[in-house]
Amino acid sequence: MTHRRHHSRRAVAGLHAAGAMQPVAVGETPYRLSTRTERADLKHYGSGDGIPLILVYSLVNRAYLLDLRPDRSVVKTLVALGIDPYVLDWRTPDSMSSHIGLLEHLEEDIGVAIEAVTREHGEAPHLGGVCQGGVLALCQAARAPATVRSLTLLATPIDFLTANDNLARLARHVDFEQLVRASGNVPATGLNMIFAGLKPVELLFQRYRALSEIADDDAALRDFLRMERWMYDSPDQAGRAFLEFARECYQHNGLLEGTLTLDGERISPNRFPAPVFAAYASADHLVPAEAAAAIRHLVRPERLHMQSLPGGHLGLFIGGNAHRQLYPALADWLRNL
Amino acid sequence: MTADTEERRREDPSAPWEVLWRTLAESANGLTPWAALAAALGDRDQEGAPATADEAVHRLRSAAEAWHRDWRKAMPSVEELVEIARRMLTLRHLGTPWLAAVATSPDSPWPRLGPLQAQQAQLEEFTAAADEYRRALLSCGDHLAELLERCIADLASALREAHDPQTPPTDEELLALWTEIASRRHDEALKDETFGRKLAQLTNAWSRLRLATQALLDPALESMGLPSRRQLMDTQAHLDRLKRQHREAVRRLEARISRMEEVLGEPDRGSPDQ
Repeated sequence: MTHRRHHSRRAVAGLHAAGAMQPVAVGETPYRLSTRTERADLKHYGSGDGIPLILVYSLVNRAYLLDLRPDRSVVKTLVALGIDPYVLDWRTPDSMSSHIGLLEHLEEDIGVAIEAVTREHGEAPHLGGVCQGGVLALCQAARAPATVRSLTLLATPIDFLTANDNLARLARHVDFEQLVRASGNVPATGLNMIFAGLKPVELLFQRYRALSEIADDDAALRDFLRMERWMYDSPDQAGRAFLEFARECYQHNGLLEGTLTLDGERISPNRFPAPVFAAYASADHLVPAEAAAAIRHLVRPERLHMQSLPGGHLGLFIGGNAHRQLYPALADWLRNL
Repeated sequence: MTADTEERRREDPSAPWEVLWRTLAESANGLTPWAALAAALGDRDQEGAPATADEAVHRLRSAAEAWHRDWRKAMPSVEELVEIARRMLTLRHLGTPWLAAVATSPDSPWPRLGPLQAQQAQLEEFTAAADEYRRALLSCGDHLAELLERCIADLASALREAHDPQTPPTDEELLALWTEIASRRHDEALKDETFGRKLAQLTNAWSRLRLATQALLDPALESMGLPSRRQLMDTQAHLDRLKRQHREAVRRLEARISRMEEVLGEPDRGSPDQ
């Protein structure tokens, strides 16, 4: 039997096992629904005695990345470290959401979530965000600095003009206004194609070819399927919010330039006076390290704690290093503020 | 599933993997040409392993050329698209049968005259948008084909360095070399502004074509008494305006209350019997 035929037979065995395993469970850590905002569910993990940290997730993917696998769950790790994570989990926008802009997300969702957690804990919470969610968290913290005690940014892009930012390069010449006029909400499938198109050999070739190697390993196959589910289970994007983010951040680099304007309101992220914890991955192809590290241009050094981890974008959430080093460091930092 | 594939599936229990593998690889065809490689590697069993390194490269090149040919062949012609547009106009006639046939020759030399100028203009815009979209698709396909050819040339030269041309590379060698070369070349392409510009042109042309299609389809639906996208968007915009006005009114009221509180001092929060 040739090696290739052997590989194919193992891959078929993997496919049968994968089919029997689907659908795989994700987001298994128990939570309490703290509040429902206009567009999101605020999920509270922990006992209520820990340090309250709101994590604003990105609008682009699903928040269960933070609880994808029981053995590498960000929320579980944080709870074990004495933190009470509140995850702002965006619901799928309906067709009526195409006029909803980012400012509404800040005011009616993040702002309301902060009020809810403040009421529950009797003190202002810490605010954080994941990827694009970090940008939203930063904007809201800049708008209402007295309402939060600190800011945590995980893989959050600040400078959209860095040399390695392929996504920004692809976005540079797109007429987003016309795109949103034509499509209303922006279909997730199109965005997923773009994301996969950034690393097609790895994501569309090697990834599936490697399936044969884990055909007999149930745990590895289950993790593969969990990631497979998360990667392509993306919500459509509310048209106006998508347009504002693409134009203000990707095309105008508004966060760094200080020109970011939402619905006529100028956002000044450098006005946020509280401490900032920023973590990024050194080989991130979606948010290049230098794009995230540019937070140093907005925050005074004595108020900024930066941590870089080896690996890619997702390693920050499901990587062993992140769970061994990053989250314990974050918990210590929050505790010592 | 084609008859050939079905036949193979019966003969070879590993065929379902081959089918799925190709489907997954081809699902990226809109942006990448890597399906060509999947096809080339997938055929190795069927055709027998290549006898030499040169033959391996030749097979890859043939697959890449076939991909490019298929890409160009799959382009809808402007005439086909305009025919679809004409059918939309025909649908509109069903709703308003008293209308005379609208100008259905967008390339006609006639100026826009008479009561159907708007319809003629819509058809002209649709034709121009379809033409732009087709050109953008072709341009992207050509660019990707050039990229693929550069990858194959790199592979050929890497194989020449590592192998006697008459010695066949193993599957593992070929795959490892190809993935390294393709990843590197693709990353270089992404860093080249031309690639981004071409993809943006395609996206923009798609948006324009979609808007032009909507402009034809909306009146057709409305003429049949059916809801159109335009009407739904108008309703959404109206609701959005109301919501914004409401929010602004609340903000003004809150500001007024806080000004009044400042003037009057903090209101007594005690219980009524205090």
